[in-house]
Amino acid sequence: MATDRILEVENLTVKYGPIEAVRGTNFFVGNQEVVSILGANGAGKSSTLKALAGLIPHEGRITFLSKDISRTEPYKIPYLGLTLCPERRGIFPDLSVEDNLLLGAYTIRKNKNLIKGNIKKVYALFQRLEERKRQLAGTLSGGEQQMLAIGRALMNDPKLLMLDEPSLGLSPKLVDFIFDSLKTINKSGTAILLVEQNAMIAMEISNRIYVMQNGKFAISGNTKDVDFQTLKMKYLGV
Amino acid sequence: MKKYLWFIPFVLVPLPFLGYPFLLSIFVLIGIYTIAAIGMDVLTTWAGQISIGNAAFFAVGAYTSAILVVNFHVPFLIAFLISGLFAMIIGIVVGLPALRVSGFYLAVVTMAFGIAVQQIIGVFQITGGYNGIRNIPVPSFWIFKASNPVYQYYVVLTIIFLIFIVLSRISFSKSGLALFAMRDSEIAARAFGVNLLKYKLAAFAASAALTGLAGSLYASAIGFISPSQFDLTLSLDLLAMVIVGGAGSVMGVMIGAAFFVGLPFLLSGYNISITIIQGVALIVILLFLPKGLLQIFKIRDLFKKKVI
Repeated sequence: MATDRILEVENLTVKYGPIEAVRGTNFFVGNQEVVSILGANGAGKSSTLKALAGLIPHEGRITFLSKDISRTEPYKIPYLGLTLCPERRGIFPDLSVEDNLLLGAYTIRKNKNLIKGNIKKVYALFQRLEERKRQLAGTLSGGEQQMLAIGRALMNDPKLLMLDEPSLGLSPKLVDFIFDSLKTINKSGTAILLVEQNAMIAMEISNRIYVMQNGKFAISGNTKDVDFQTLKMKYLGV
Repeated sequence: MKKYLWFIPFVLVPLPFLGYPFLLSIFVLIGIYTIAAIGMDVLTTWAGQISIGNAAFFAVGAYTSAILVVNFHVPFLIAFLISGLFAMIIGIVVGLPALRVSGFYLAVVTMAFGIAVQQIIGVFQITGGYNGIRNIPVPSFWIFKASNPVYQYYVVLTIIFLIFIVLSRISFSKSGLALFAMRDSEIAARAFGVNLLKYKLAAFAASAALTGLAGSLYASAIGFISPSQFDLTLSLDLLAMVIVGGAGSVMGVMIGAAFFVGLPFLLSGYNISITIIQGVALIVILLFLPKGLLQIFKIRDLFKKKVI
């Protein structure tokens, strides 16, 4: 079983000064799996992802593709195939759509053919981006910006794609579209670790879920086994 | 910038043939400030790091070059390169705090650095203390004696053109992309493998080197330097040149430098306070041309927008 896990997290703790945002969580992501971390505001979901990407100080052991990355410099992590699609999209507003994508391929910048192929793949997934490739990213609509953020994250061929609230600020129709694309991305072999507030939509595409409450997992398990009533209770913090 | 390339062969190159040596020496000065302001532009609009201490790099360049030429009789070309190199090293040191602080905090840190350098220069003997260094010899390049402003003019113009070529190459490269990404979103840039340490220090190094080279040219063009020339006002002027002219474009920066350096000379014959004129002009420019004087060339676009 252990060899099927591409990401293994043991005893992850994140502190902001005296406040413990994540308190010793253990979880894993299997090969080609979609795993969701759900929870209310301030439960510690985003902190978990940021810690995995090395962006904030943390304690605990993070193993990615049987390599300990808990002390790896943040800019080296995407080279390993672990890419974060940051919260609020984090696109580069003053760069064109295409330049945004090219920056996503920064880790594979020497391999021009691979970059070309990946851009084609991204444009096939999100045609809208190809129509607007010369436009400045800051002028895109919210949904297009989310497509760009995901597309950019796919540019360096991640083995595990981490997404922080991809449904944030999108209309229900667009949320459906984005999550359909995530399903497509997963089918082509990329594992996905998703952080979401929108539990219903996240559960639709996830193999397993973890529900976070005050920095710990209150529920974890296969999506179909989770009792909806308990989920509701935990989610509302009752 | 490509649109304005006609400007070089038709306006900038033939300028000396007009035959006004005084005017030409002002253009030399404008050119020197342009180089320093490009240094500021690279740091602020490319890398998104603010600095109001760039006068210190200017001073470091000017003093390094002056001391080498006056005290050690080093040929100017070598002194020129060393002053750029030395300023670059100092720039890397100053860049280190930028890894921890940003925005207003970085502005204050760089300001403190600028003031500190100015004071340090005033203390030492070799720098001539607060009296400065006088009689800095005019450099002589290979074939030409540069005491002629025509030569100075072409030398400065060539340097600016070389800088422009290098910068435009960088801006279309992966490194340029990484710099712009860092400016737009540090977290996202890092999440995609950009080494912020490398790029922030590189931005500071490039900025300091350019400003130091400009300082070296300044010292030999003016012939006299003292700490009071490199105060906070100079740093702010450099920043203002970038904003007033047009951030992110060599052409814009050149216009900004012309505005700040050339205008006082233009008005010196009249009995008006230059500060008032400059202040009013600044406000008018920022109100009507928020993207800098370079916008004048795109004035037709402004009218187009009004119709729609």
